[in-house]
Amino acid sequence: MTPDSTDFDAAAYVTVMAQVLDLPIPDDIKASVIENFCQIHAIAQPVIHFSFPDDLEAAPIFKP
Amino acid sequence: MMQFSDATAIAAAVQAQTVTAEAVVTQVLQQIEHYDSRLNCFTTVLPEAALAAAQQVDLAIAQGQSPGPLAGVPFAVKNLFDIQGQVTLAGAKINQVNLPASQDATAIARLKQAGAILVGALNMDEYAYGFVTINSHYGATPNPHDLSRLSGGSSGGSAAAVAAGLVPLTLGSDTNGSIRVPASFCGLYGLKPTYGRLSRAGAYPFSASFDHVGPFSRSVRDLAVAYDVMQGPDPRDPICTERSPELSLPQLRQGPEGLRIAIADAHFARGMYSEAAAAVSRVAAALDVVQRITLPEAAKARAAAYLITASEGSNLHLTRLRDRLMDFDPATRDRFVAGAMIPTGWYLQAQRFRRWYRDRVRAIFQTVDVILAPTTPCVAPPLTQTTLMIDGQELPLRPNVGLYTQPLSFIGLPIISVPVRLPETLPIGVQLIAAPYQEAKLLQIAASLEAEGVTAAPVADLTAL
Repeated sequence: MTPDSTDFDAAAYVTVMAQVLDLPIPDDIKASVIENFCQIHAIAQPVIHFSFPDDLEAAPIFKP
Repeated sequence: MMQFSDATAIAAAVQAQTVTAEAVVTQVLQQIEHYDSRLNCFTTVLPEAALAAAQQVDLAIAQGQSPGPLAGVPFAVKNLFDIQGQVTLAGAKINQVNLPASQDATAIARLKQAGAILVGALNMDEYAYGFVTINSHYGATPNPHDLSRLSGGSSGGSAAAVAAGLVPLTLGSDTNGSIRVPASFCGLYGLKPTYGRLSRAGAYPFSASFDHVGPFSRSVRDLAVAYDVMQGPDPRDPICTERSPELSLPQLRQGPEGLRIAIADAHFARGMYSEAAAAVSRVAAALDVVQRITLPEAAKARAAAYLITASEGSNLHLTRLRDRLMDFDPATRDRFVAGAMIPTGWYLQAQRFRRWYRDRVRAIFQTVDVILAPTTPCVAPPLTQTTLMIDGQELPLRPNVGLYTQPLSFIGLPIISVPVRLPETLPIGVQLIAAPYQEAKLLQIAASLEAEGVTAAPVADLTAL
């Protein structure tokens, strides 16, 4: 089941991740960073809920 | 003033000694001096080095030597390529304090070995993260066909310099469409080769999973020559293929006969403006193509490309985001910060999806040789435009210009964007897409389209400047 992306608290996530990454975000750009992460979150949903067989590996050396 | 149709014509004239390389380069430098204050293509011009190199080419020819198939051809590069003795800007103010490059990027070195002459470096979106070439540090590079419009990006300077006729050949890089989008908007031939086919050594990285380098030109034969001389293994680039070069120029006149060609539908048939649809139809009609084919889950491929690009690009710049945050271009800064926060699980899922999608598309190439798709959803929009109408939705322009390019570079396919000019409109590109390492087939089809007048890349009219 795909979670409702409106339940996601992007502001709280960005605040915590800024601490985790030791990446202080000035107040005047924080709203824009949150907005950008909201877009990433929405873009990610169809990919992160896509099912693969267990033996499908990423390509460590990618040969097209 | 000397007029040449393309780089190949310059090389032929220089080899035949009907003109000197020095005279060609002198004229190019004068043109740059005259026009670039308005066009803003160049961030660095190298007059002394270029004239010295031209004199060497002329001396070699006078001594009976052949400097190579690009003898005396002036070229320029996106400013993320290392030029020996120059600081590699990659469109960033932050990089200005870096040491000068100790050697040329491999792609530059190989063009020089073929006799070409480097005249300078070209504007781009900061750290290649954009489709517009509006750079807060180095200015916007407008479209030479209409200075009120975008040149595209991130290799906008590379496209605009060729479209304006300042140089016949340039290099760009393409991670999600950064060669193909500006080639479309500026009406040029642009080649994004197979992932790993051309060495990226000395090209400032963005997202290692997708970074490619490639040429822009106004003729297919120029694209073929440049591609051919840049092929070959390179231990300086860990993903550069060890396959032997396959020269495309000798195969250029074989034409499209016998090649199975189809039009991409579903994702690639939705959301475009009428000019893009008409351009695809025109190319398809010229090639007598009616078959349609679906690349499954292309929208997810685009989303996965976005996640991987943001994760890898943001990781690359993490130290700079900590130390120099407010020196980034505001157009890239907040996206890089947000990208640094993408969970590892999302990145790995996107990489696994890449493998899944590659396997499906490989299967499709068992039944077709070449696929047609629009390059951009529209012609070059005005510089001030911020949204596009896609499928009835008003969406941000900057990310959505790559609607049709991102799902393809995602799996490293070779692609040429060919320029179509319909009546009363600006130019627009059509992507010719092949299976890995089949660049020669693409160039054959592009040469046929060019010979029939279906595609063309005339120099922009600069008389008003």
